Amino acid sequence: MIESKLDLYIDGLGVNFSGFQAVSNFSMVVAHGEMRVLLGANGAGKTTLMDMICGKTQSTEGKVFLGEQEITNKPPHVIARLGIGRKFQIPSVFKELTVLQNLSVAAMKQVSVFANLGSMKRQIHMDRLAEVMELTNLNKKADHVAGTLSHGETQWLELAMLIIRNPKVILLDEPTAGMTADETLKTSRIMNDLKGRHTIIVVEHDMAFVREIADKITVMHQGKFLAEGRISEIEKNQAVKDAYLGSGGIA
Amino acid sequence: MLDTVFIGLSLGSVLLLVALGLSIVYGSMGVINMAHGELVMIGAYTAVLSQIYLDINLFAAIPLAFVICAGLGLLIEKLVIRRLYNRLFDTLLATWGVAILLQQAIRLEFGLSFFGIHVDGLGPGLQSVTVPKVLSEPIMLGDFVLQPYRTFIILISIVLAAFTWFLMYRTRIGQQVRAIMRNKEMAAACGIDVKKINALTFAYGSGLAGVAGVMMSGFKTVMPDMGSAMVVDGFLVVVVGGVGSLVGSIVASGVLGQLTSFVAFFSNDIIARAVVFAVVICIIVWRPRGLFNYKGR
Amino acid sequence: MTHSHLKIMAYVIFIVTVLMLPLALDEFWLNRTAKYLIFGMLGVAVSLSWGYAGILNLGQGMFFGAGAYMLGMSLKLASPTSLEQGTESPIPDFMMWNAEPNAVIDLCCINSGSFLWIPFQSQTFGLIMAIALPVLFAWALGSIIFSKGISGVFISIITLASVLLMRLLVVDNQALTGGFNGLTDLAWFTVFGYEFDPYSVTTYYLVACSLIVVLLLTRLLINSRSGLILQSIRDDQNRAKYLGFDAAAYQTFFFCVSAAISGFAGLLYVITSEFASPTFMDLTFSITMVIWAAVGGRASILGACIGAIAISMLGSSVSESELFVESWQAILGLCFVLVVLFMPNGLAGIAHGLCKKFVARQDDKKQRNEQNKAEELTKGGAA
Repeated sequence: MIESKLDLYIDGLGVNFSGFQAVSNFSMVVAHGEMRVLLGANGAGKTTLMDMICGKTQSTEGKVFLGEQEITNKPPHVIARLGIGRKFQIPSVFKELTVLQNLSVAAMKQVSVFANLGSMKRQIHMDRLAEVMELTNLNKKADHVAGTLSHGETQWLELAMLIIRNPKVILLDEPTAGMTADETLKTSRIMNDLKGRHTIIVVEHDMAFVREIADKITVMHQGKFLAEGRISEIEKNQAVKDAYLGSGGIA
Repeated sequence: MLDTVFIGLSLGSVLLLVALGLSIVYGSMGVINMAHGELVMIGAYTAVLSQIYLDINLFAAIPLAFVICAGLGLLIEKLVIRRLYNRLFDTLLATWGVAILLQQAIRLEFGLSFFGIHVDGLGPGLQSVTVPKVLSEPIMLGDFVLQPYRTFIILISIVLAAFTWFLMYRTRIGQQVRAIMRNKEMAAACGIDVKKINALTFAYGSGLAGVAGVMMSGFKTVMPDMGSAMVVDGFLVVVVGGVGSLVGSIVASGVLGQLTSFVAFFSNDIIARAVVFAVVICIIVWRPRGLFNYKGR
Repeated sequence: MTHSHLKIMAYVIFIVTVLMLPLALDEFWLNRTAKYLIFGMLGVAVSLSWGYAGILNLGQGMFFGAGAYMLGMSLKLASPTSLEQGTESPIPDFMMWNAEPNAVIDLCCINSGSFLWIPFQSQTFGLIMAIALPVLFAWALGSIIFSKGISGVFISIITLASVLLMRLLVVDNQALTGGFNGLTDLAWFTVFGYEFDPYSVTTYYLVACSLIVVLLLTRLLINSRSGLILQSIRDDQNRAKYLGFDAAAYQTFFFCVSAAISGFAGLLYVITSEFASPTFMDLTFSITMVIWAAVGGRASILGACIGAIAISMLGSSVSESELFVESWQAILGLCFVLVVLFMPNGLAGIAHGLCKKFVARQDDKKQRNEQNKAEELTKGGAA
């Protein structure tokens, strides 16, 4: 029933926070290698949806499948190891460690504490680390403590940590938030580079950025599924226009 | 049976007196005040000293202890806590150092013992306070012996809890404290003088500790290290009740008080402590954020 | 001269000093120094748990005490007094005094619970339990608490409550544990027939080598991949989880290692001091351990170790003067407050800063020398 070409299959997912239904009966299917953009006004439930997929928040209804494996409500570290990577709105990296150390931690092949009792010199492939740092413009900052990076650089570090793990599905929550136009351009280049090799779900507001990268768009409104399709279809969709009436439509 | 329940209420009320101040300070400031137990101890010594030197009884010692401990709290906040707002966890350590200093100050009679001067009522020995006549005679209610002093403690804790509730939920300053509890930056952005309110909150919590100390002096022996175990009990109540929840502290102290009383009835005090500890662990496992907590998500 | 060179030098100097001390000290002082070294081991345990795992254990004494009592029980049963009670099995003197009326005078049944002592007739059992019991406690506590996302404060409070409780239980069960007096009149630790006289050079080397081994192994552990992951967990637990690491498992593991080291310190202490007492589980002692690590440097294994040794040495020498004996606790308390306020990384942090400046200046000098050389070459070439 579930095609093997699907990477993420969400079925009727929802969550109720002591009376407030943040997301209800949301379903979405994302194919392998697709770049899907999640659109919606603030409070539409996009971040909550991402939280449920990666295990940060426990859902109260519905299921999530990664390929054929059900991952609903599993602990975050288990879901992460099954192949889902998450980048947060507020960049979260290890501020007291250096850029190189951050990436080394992200690049660890094994997760158990006993498997990692070995020395740092083994199992860390320096060329792969260098490659990723090159891609994300961090090659000159390898020994800098992550807490000293600029906002844009911190975003790229988090992206780098994601890329180096080679997850099947990448969840990006507003990756260009707070970036300059120049940094946004660099970021879209990084993301186009990732396209095809990973399945990516992006929450974004910046429509110019969305146009650059999106294959398909899913629109959420008040925690529910509203519409889905290519960007041209979405722009013509009456329901979407109604939902955004008064907020200027899709600019 | 009724006796055990009554003792449970009395134990619970003592716990509440200690936990109230802790809960407010930790809940609104995020400050872990390990010197809270020592502030209780100072309150107890205030009762001792005021009985010896000022010849006033327990009732009058209450407001005196409140003022002295609140003042001490202001001092601690200004000298120590204020420098640690950007690393709150270290308040645990710094206040522990303050606690050691306070304990030693009393034990060494503020340094006077080095000069051979002994101040009556201070020093490493045990002290006690005589309870006012009106509260020391047990009253017979049929079969049940009513201990007036313990009843008085229960009443005082109810009054203080109610007064704290009133301050928090019906006054402007309480509103500001609650705003800071929810979101410090936003509160400051709304024009609330966070520094001043924090200092006052800490002072209030310390004052409450002082009153608890006066109450304790009436039935416990007063000694310099009586505070250490109290701060642990206080935090256990806060952890079970839920940080920042007044109702949580009340319920938790009631539950833990009754539990201690009942288990102690069937075995002994030490087993009671062990059982209470095990129950606290179970509650935390079941509800890591405590029984009541205001954080929705 | 790089930073890591300086670090290695520090370790080498420390190790050599420790090993050379018997040349300078007599047996009495060697025994005292051995005790300080054991406290140094405790400093390592606290630093590992607090500085690296981010777990502030306010009740480290419970692991130390457990280790001491476990071996202590074996050494008690091996003592001449216990062996000469005129019974088949050795019986500790305090059990004889607390015998239940009409009980059979034998280790199995002299009072309820005395049968627990039976396996301790084997010193090896006592040795194993000295490490195993603390690890078991730590594992039980850790598995329950770390996975619940309970804030660090409450973890500290729970460890605090644990050590208080443990002390109460030990003192209360006099018939089983010797109560307030603890375990005294112990036999000497014996390995393959060789008896370790607490005042001999051999015992000193037993302790010194143990400390060095623990120091180096802990250093290796921290430099391993798990050590780096642990530090990332301490930095941002959630981020680490979303990278696939089971944060609770890492915390529990390192908590257990810290407990094992403390248990080891406990068993060494009982060998050198010939007693085990409930004072090991005093709150003040556990807090003092934290003060050692705070002053020495919570995130530095060697720093915390040296901090512990230095402060306890200072504390003992102070007991010569009456004035200082009384005020030692107050002085410690004041130091603690000042260190937390103004020197949060302890003396090691200050040393670290100085090293950085030193290394930076060396680098600067090197750069300038190279620049000068290059200039001279171009001048020479031009001329």
